[in-house]
Amino acid sequence: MTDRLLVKTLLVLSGLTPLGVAQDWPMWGNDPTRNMVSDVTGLPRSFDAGGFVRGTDQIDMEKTENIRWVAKLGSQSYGNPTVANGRVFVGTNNDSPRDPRFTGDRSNVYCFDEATGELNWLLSIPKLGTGKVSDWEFLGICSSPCVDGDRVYLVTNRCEVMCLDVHGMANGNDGPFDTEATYFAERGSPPVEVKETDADILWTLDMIDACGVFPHNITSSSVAVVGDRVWVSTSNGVDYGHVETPAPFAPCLILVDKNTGELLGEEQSGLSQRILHGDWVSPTYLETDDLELAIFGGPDGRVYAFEPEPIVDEDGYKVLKEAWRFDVNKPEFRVKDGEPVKYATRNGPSEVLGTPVVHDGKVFALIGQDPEHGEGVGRLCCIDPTGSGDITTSGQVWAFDGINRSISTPSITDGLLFTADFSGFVYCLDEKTGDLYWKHDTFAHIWGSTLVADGRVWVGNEDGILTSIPATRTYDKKLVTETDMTSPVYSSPIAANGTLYVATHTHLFAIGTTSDG
Amino acid sequence: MSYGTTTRPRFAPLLLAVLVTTFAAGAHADDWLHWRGPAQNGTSPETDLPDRCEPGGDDQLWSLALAGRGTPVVADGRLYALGYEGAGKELLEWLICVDATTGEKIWEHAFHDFLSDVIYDRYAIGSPTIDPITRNVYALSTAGEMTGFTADGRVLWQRSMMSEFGRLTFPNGRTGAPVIDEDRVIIHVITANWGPVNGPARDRFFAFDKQTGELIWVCTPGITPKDSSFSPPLLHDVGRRRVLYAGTGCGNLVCIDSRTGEAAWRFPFATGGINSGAVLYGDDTLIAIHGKENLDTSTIGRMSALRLDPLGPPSADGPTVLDPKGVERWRVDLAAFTSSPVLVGDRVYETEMAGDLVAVDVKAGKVLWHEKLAPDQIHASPAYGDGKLYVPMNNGSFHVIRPTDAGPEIVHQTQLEGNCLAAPAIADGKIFVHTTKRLYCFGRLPEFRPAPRQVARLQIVPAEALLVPGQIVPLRVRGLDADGRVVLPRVSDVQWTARGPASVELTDGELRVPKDGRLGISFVTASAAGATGQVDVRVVSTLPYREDFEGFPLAATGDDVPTALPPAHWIGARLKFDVRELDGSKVLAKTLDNNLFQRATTEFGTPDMKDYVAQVDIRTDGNRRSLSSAGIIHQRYLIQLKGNHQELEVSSNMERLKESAPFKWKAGVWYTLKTRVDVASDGSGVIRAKAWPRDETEPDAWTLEVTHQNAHRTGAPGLFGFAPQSRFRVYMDNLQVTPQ
Repeated sequence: MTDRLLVKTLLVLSGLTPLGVAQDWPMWGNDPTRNMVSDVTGLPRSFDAGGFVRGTDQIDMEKTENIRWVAKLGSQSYGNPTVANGRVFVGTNNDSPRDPRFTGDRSNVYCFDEATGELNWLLSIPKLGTGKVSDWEFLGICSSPCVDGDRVYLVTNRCEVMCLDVHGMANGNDGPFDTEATYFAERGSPPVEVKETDADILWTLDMIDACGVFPHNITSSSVAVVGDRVWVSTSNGVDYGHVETPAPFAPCLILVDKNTGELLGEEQSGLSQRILHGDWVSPTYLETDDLELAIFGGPDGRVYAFEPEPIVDEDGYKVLKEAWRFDVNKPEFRVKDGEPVKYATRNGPSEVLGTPVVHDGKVFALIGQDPEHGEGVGRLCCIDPTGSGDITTSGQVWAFDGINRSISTPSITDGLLFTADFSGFVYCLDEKTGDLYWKHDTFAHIWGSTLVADGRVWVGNEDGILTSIPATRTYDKKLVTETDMTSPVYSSPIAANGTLYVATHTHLFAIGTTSDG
Repeated sequence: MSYGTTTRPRFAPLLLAVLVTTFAAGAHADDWLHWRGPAQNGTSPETDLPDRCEPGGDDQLWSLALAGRGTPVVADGRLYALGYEGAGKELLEWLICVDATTGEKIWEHAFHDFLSDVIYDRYAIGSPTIDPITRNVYALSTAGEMTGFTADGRVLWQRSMMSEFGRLTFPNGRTGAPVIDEDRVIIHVITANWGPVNGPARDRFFAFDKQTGELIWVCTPGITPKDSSFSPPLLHDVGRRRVLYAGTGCGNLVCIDSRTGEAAWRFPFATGGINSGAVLYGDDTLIAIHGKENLDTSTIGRMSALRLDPLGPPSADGPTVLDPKGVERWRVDLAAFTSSPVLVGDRVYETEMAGDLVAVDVKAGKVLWHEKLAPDQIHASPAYGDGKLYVPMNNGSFHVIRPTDAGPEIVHQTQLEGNCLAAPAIADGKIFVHTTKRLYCFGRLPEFRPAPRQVARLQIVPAEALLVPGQIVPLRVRGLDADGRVVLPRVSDVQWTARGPASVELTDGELRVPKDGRLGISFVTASAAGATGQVDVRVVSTLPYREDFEGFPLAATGDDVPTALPPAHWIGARLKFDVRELDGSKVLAKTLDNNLFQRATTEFGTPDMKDYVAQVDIRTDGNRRSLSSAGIIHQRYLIQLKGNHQELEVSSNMERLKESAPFKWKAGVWYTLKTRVDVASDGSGVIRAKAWPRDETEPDAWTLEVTHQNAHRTGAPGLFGFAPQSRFRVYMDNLQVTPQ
């Protein structure tokens, strides 16, 4: 049991709630179970995002209400914020440069002061230079930084696992990585002058060199730190032509030493030979009294479970042993009337893109596709993780077929499961049975995930509307609120320490009661 | 080089009602010759157009079960459209001509797709264009076969944009539509041709003689593209000059002289590709939209109105880069990546990416209203006529809307079968719209401006020539006036000079390569009466062709390993391959220094070549985790040794035509790859390939034999190299292409 889980367990056993202690949100999904539920309370019932000052892309702070601060991001922001120890981290692109040394299309992570939104330090990474196939223009850093003590872990647009010093360069350039001046510069350009406001890289692991990965479109997932190890999906995927996987034997899931960056293990279950598009899902970790498994949503539409201790294969490679696999796709999504159903068609097979969630000893997973492929049939399954082999039939607790393709990560609390689909619907299901209680239409595509916090479900959409619905099994349209965030919301709301964070494409809003609001 | 008409498609018109046409015989019918309509802005002057477009309803005249993603065009009662039929490796793209009133087939022409990266059956994302004078029809196929037809379906000429000019292929399949101006048919593609000027991938505009297919000019108006673009060129008279405006894959709006092909200006508009068309408001305002990052703000997309200033005479100095602050009259925050605006009076109507129909007041530069019609919009655009907007959406919904300043009045809404990816056409009182399932039918000549004046410059046609030794190509030297108009069809007393290694001779307006002439490139200049013009010449080998690279002098830059550029007359090879020494022998190597070029294809023949055997030695660097791949382009098939897959593979489109056999090979060892294509008289073919360790005896049997019912009958030979993520070099040597 990790120290953090121990603390939580002790709190529960002692009848204490985490109130009065820090309610940080240190990684995607808060912890490796990835359940999008926060303990935060006291969030404002209404707020106003202010709108732009006419003719600019700056928020008019005079017109905001219950907004503690706003930080300018780039032009596209898919990296979901995280909050730990007084700092807020978020990934974006460099379309609103904050430093004259870094210009043009780059991929950035900002570390802000949690109280003020002031910039502590920034990480600015040059593009990989492949064009769209492996590092699409302007996508920025899509990984949600994972904070573990004094270290920050993420994957970069250059297909690296990276470990950063949470203090940045302010406390000096710690190693072993000490070539930031070269790394920050455009390839072929002279080194840049490193400043105190820069990120301090501690180590990197290049997954192209170390694992033979061919990332598709962008390296995008959020790592999970469990004990001394970092679980990482590689973003291996198809080629430019979308048919061929150039690295069919590269792993989709790897395990890295969090202190050194050493490769400790890799999946070799043939996932890359079955990739439908790309491997962008974030790893999940399941820990019960009897079971400890890495849970991985496969790029072939199956959920996999791996035993955490690698074994050495005949070639000396450290390989993760597969415990079980479960196909979230219905059989007719893959083959109909004896013919394979084409991928990227409305009724065809999909991959797992939303992160599987672990709750109360069960695994919850759904299927979806790159939004560019439009809408289509989806499915949400509850899986009993205690079996072995192919548990598609034996491990199914329930399946909900009334959902469209989804790239969201569910929120499960108080016997209810809330989630969204790409078509713009928000769902409330019974956690135990999968029965639908209600469904709400937001009328625009939803890329991000639901968050349950302070008794409400929060979710943003492509029209820039943040919807808030009571997190109850009954639905009353009159109690639904909608707030115009001024720009499309492609990320997920998160909450920490009394504040709701919503990143639009261009701004990060810290939403909370203010003395004047 | 045309395929002629091959098998017939199985479509049959579904006639729901036979319309008694509202136009009396002999009266002037209104045509829709180009997808943007007669005013180049999506509007029709017609009246009495249908209020309802209900599939199966009284207003449907006919429909055809033919998948398409473009706008049909209509002239003289005939409709022309691009479509596709079939699946897998036997899929064909069709240009069809049907009776516009009944949907009955008149003629059709099949296009093959080959060596393409198109996926998800994204075919026919383009439209034919009809010449208002000759009524000839022009279309660019997905594989880049630029073809001119008579109205009766006879092929006038065909150019292989891929083999002749290095036209690149993209997964999105967008081809767009030619535009016709005076004697020219103009297309917009992305090419990586040969040489330091035309070799780098760029947006390029090609103008062909509409009667002969000869290349009149080629223009490179922009910078490195981020996307492909099928933005339709918009023609405009600026003073005495004739120009076109278009968006580019490099994020610029460009202005090109339509007569000379010189770029007058470019306006940096977006960070990525612009696919939408622009519209002209009055005579001095251009309204355009994009859906990528802006250069000066962090918002995505904008619609802008640009002031069009007077132009000086055409110049070869390259385009002026316009300062956005200087010429932008207004901007509004709207985003459309491929959908094009419609201009009606002082109002512009646009379908945004998020699926909204938007009305903009052009005078005030203000959005009047939004109306959400669908979850999203991709390529489709509205068309306007008789006071109504006809709005197809990506999800197949189709809306008839009467726009007012107070808001949209919904006249009729329905759901068509399939997705809509193009604008409707309006002609002869009918509305035509194509979906990915069906083509539905619900339901003026530009001035000729002869102005002869003094010759100010010369224009050589063709502007680029591809020859083999022994071949003769006539060159026409035309005199242009200062405004770029042809004022003297043939200039006499021309002085010719040639610069470059290829053997070329010039006599009496003929370009000739001796039978034993050197291969390579040459830049030929014509001078007469103080004016000059240039033609770029590429001389490629007849069969047999052998290259062992030993004759290439190597030179080092700085501390780098000594290398040489690959043969200059190989299309697309420059900077993607180099010649270097390996174990005492000079070989061709895939370069690694630019990750953008991790995959490269080069062709070095003419597109009509056939009946040959090709062979090359291949070796790769790498390790267990990653190896590179290489192969031969053989008559429009790619035959490669795949490192990471340990396979020998034949493909022509990675999704539809791809078959492989296991082949174990490893890093650091030379292998030989041999290929052959045989096509029978019925059009079917067999593609054969074998590979073996170079030090061993050639096996008798072919490793892989692939049958193809609609086989590619001709195609230039070439080479292919792919170094995933530019990590490990792959080498080729001892190339030979010999007659069967």
